[in-house]
Amino acid sequence: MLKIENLHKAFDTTDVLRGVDLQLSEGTILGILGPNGMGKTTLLKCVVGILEPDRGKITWEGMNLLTSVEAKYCVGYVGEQRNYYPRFRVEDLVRFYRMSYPNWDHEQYRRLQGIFELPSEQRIANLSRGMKAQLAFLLNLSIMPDLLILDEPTSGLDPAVRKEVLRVMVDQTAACGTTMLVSSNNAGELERICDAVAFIRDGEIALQGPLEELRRRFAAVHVIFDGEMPAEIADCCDLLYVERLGRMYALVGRRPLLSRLQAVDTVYLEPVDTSLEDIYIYYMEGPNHE
Amino acid sequence: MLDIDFKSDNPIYQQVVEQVRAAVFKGALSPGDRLPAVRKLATKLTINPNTIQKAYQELERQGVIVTVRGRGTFVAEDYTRTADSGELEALRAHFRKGIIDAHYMGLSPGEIEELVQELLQEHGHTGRDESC
Repeated sequence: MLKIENLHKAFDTTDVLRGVDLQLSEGTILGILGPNGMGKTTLLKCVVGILEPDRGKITWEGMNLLTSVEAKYCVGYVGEQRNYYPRFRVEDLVRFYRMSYPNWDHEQYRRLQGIFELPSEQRIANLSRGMKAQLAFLLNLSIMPDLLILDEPTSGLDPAVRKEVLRVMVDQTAACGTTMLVSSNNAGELERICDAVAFIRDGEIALQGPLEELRRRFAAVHVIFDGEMPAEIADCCDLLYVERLGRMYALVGRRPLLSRLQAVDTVYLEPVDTSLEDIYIYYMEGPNHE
Repeated sequence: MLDIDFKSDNPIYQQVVEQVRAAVFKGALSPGDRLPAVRKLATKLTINPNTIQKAYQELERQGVIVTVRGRGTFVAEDYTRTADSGELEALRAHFRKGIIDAHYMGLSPGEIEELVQELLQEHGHTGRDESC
């Protein structure tokens, strides 16, 4: 289990993380969503040990991730920046990884190389951004990590490769029980592959839970009122988002909104589906968010 | 084979359950047929493997499929399950809604009966032993 407790991190005078608590059990995938600059990358860097937290505790299977060498062998990290030695060829880097990680699986590497088609004689400096992203992904899956931290693994990739990356992630978890912590701005992607998601806002976890549970906590409806929207709906704290088209309102809110609507006079009331993306947008960026 | 709607409020695992049941009912999957392994199906659909696992567990609980350790997951040979009263009540509500819809489309009771027979025949389930 990955356990993050009361994590704090500040840069100069800016508090980026203000007490993050997260738990993630083995063999599950947790997605982290949040606006840019809200601490997603900082959180992941703290977990891997690139950044030292000011306060708080991070443990993997009871081992301290900051200090335990043993733990580092079994943690993979695909960061947003891929700062590999530019003069290295791809094959040099592979050899470097092979020597550094005791669990390196060359069969796995060959298999993945067949999928991603990276030229092994090419120098890192000559690789495109997307190719570097694929290389980082490939290397970190070949070290057979127990815990894999992925910071926007699909950003900058073309749709076909994007799909392959997700497919490989799912396959790895199914085959090896790999635990993954993945940040993304693509709610649709996370929705497919994650067990649970967490929204991060202002350095805190604003909302977290299994996807189905999150969905059950929100409701979206199309509604026509008998006249104007009643004040008890317009002012209620469960309402997160309002859009109007003629007499029809599209409302999004917490689940109790439904029973509140049933209690007032409506001409038409129809619940509609809510995707994770809807929830994210309305909850995090809605005009009347908390 | 399976078509998952990610926008739907219906949970993904529930969609898998419903579609496997439909495939068995229609005869696209026959008793004894092997279902894809969790890993294979998860990878194919790019869906979290735990979600597939949950769907398979539910299907097994319902008696639609059986898992043979070390051999895989198969469509059950003899489906003998008795619905509990809650499920029956939900089914009645389902049918009732359909009948009301049909009524307002101008269908007579006889025509509704005919339609039900037709649908059952479509799946080759007419005249079968009641206990099946």
